[in-house]
Amino acid sequence: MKRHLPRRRRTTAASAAVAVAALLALTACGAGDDTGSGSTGSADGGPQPLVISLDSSVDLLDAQAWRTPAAMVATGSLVEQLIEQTYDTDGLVRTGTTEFEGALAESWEVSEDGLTTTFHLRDGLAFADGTPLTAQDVVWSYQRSLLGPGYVKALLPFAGVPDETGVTAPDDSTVVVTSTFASPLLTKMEAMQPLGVFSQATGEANATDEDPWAGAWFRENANSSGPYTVASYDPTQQLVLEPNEHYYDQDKIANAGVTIQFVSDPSQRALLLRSGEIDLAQGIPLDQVQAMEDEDGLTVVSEASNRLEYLGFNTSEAPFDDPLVRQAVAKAVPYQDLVDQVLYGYANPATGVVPATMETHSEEAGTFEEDLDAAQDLLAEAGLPDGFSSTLYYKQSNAVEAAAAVLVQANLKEIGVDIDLKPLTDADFTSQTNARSLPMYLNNFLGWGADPFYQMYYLAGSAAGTNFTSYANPELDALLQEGAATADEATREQISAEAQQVIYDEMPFIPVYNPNWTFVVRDGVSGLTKDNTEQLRLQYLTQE
Amino acid sequence: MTRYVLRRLGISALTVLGLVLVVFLVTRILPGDAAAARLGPEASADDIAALRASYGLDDPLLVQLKDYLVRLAQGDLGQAVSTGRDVGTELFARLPATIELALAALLVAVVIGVPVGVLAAAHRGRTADAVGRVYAVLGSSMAPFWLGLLLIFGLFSTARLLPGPIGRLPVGTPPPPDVTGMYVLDALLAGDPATAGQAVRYLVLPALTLGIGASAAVVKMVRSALIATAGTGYVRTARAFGVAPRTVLWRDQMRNAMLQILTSLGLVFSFLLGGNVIVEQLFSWPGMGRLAYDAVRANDLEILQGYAIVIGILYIALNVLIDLAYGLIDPRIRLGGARA
Repeated sequence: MKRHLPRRRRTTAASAAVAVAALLALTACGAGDDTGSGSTGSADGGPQPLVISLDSSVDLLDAQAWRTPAAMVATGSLVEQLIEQTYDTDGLVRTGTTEFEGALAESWEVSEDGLTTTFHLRDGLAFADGTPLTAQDVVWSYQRSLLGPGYVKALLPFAGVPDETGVTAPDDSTVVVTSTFASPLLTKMEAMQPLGVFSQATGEANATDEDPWAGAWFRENANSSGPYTVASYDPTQQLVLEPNEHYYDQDKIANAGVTIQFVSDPSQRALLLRSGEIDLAQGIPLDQVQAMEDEDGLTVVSEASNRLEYLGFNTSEAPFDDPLVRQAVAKAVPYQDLVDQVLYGYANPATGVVPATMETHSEEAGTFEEDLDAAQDLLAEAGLPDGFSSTLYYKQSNAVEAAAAVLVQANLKEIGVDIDLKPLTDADFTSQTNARSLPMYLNNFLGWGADPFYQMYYLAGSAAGTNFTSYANPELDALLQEGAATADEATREQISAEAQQVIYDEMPFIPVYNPNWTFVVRDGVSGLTKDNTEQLRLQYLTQE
Repeated sequence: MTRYVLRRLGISALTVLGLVLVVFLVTRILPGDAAAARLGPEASADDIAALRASYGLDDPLLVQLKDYLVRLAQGDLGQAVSTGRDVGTELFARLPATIELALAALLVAVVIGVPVGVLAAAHRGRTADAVGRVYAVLGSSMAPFWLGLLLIFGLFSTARLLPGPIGRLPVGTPPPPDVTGMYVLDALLAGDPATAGQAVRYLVLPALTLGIGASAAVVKMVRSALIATAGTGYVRTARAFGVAPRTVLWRDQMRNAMLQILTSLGLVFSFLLGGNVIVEQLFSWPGMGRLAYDAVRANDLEILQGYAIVIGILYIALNVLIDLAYGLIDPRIRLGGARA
């Protein structure tokens, strides 16, 4: 029984105690070194980079192949375009106009027939690595957009440049873009970031037989022509952007750099903004945004937007193959209640497929107003006086759509239409809308370049990949094509109004509301710049 | 002993194969088309078909399975459909963050769970036991998501004691030189206690969130393991010889209960490695769980498969290690195979 006698030996508890002591010691030491983890309060007194958190993470760095909204913003600042829109400033916000000025191009002229644009590049342009930026790089980048790894292939063809032969470089400082029709849309696209300039030499040095456009290299790296270079990039944590010392105009970089921190949970993003760890946040739940209006130290920036939330139909199947049924549903949507109750006022009720904030919006086409009696009459006229039942789909990840669906469901019940609600994962929603298999769904759309014909074509054009309604109307297609190829403003307006009327009468989808372009910033942050594609241009952000 | 080890390894190889089969089949059942999601709505049907073909998504299931097993045997976990990145590289880049968090949470679970469990067992049927059991029920029924929110609200948002849920280090602090990928350890190795301290501070909240839930399981396990030894002959004999109850508890009961406790800690650790998807998401912790969360949303089967397989293999490997450790600790186990 001797072995039962006590013997000195470390127990599990003792080693655990040592570990805890070590942990506490480290924590204490960390606390001592913590000089306030916010982005303000610089030790050396110089301007500090801004820390922002957008509604998603930056999935990759290729300005032509990004997938997440935050990546569109971030990659856009790693390339510079030939031209840029000018901005109107109103308080903290600068909004893109339809006037343009030179960026990499010092000047440009358009031929009399409007089909040929000749750009003259500035002298001494360079990429971030110091190598010269020439007209050849521009040609290579435009070709990359048409043939490369991204999905911006449709951009140039839609504006009349169907293939890579439309872009040439007669010499190192001249770029000539030739289109098959004259359209104001081409200029808008030339100012868009996916048509910014990549380095051909870098691309070719990193190309492989399987990857001739260096998609793999540009996914993780950049040789920037834009206002920033990548100081560090961790797809799981943050992207640190530093001013590009080779950028063509240093005065157009208003800050000392921007760190985009990927905070996955929107409510946590709100907490971090309140505590000052971040300076600007996007994608905060709107009820919290509303509460932030009254909080000291925070400012809510919320601007009208062209982004369109719509209720789409499958127009190839009953009962939604009947325009009367679609119009009846349109009369049963609680437009104002949705804006007030679901979006807490951070939206405008729908004004049409071409929103009131977009050029050529027509007041004539028709209004979107809740009128349950009229809805019931239309249903009766369609031969469905007792209503019908169907299913409304939306994305599980979108809390706003989920809440909106409930209000729509309740209103439709009033006119005898029984709706089941069904959330889908993002991927499932994408694949089912692509297959045109959903009878009714909530979705949203943002047309690039704020162009009415682009907007209408991609929502209602019969060959458009983003027209999930199966609606096909050759007359409308012809009208939209004609409008896109028309330069004269009055004619454009007239064609646009005509097309808006067709879409309103046929109602393949119901415009429901336009959610605002909303950010919350710490006091002192200004220069929030919304370009024509409603992207935040990081280079103009400032902080007092 | 060799025979025991070989048998154990053989069984786990079969388990891994079974795991791969299940993962492969389950990921094929999920709805959605990642190829279409990657190429965007403007992609032509030809582009989508080409991408699907390049991933072999159109081949018969058995052909896909064969190709998958061959690639897996070569250590190739495929390419993420949503970004084109290498899945193995993606997962292993995030593994250290997940392990660091799981280890810290295990520490929390042990530091809370063992003493509470021992107290409960030593005072069986009395107040301390009741408190321990209530803690175990509360701890295991509290959803980590909810607990995490409470902790963030209390310790970050209100009391400002700890940093917010923004990842592993303060914004602007460069990570320590990469040795293990675990920031606390790497910073200490680099002789940078300040960064190590910061890393610990950022680790505390997620580790508490995960660890408190796990500690409940540890309490229950320690308590029942100790109580099971209380009625044995050697305990009664030791007590009869006048050995102090505390000594009997730590020297006899604890050592004999160690096997069971070790098993439970192994299971708890495996759970912490694989069960932290929500906590990583809540704290913006850049681990494998967050990658898996994003992969579900993007319907990226390649990443999901890789995640499930890496976690599964880790789980199996941990269990093998524990089983082998048993053999070393307790001769009855390694001889068991020979007797049967």
